[in-house]
Amino acid sequence: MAYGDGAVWVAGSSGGPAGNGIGLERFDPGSGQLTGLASLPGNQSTSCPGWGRAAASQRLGQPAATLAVGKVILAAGPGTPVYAISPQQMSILRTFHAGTGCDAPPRLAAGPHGLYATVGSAVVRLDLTLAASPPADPPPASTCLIPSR
Amino acid sequence: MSTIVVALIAVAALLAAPGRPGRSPQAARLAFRQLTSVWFNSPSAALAYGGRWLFAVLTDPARLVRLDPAGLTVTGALPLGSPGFDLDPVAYGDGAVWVCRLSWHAAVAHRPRHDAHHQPAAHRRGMLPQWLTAMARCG
Repeated sequence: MAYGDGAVWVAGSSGGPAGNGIGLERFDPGSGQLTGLASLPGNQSTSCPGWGRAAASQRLGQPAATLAVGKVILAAGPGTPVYAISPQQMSILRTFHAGTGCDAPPRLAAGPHGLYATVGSAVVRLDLTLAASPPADPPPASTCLIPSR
Repeated sequence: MSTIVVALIAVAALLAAPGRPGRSPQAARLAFRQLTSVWFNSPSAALAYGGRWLFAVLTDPARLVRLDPAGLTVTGALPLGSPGFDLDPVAYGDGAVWVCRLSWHAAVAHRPRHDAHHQPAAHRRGMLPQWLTAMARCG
């Protein structure tokens, strides 16, 4: 749960099987009314060595989902990529994969200098920027995050 | 022609509708850039931004580190006692960093060697400033 952009944000998994994704809810802090809802899909084909599909599900000691609120909303869950969500429209702006998908969801933070995520033993700083000019071809749907040493 | 226009409007409305996780038209022009990164010798259990710093809780050894939010340079560290269980949430508020140490028995908001559930309420209140003072030195 997090507060930002004039709303309370809650992200969580359904507790169902691996790769079912997470839900993101937006509440008005004054009235408590639900003002937005998005279902962020997981990767049901995620398979992790030694664990099978269970590795991508919620495990003891891991959060059901992680969340950060800045200019965009970042949310991730077990077996999901990290989603960048528009706070107003609650639409998916971009996704990126951090790690193998078999680990705990990456921890996330947002600040004026950028967006932050954990990838294994690394902390990476990201920027979600507008491209200088419209690309000739559609950009890839997802970015794979590999921190440089 | 009008059919095409109506179809385009319908697609745009679907993408813009609240609660629909469809890809925004803006997504086509957005890109993630990785600006910098820092490696530690143990996984990062939690992140929080506040007070113009980025804070990370590391698990082994358990410690809170303060990072320059632009270059991710470590500018301070505070040991957190016994090794964590990858369960140490961190948040920033009211000018302090707040770390919640979770044990197998209880969630406490101060040093984990004390058990809040077996201390008088006044004692608990008295212990919190001590912990917060320690946090403030890092923050």
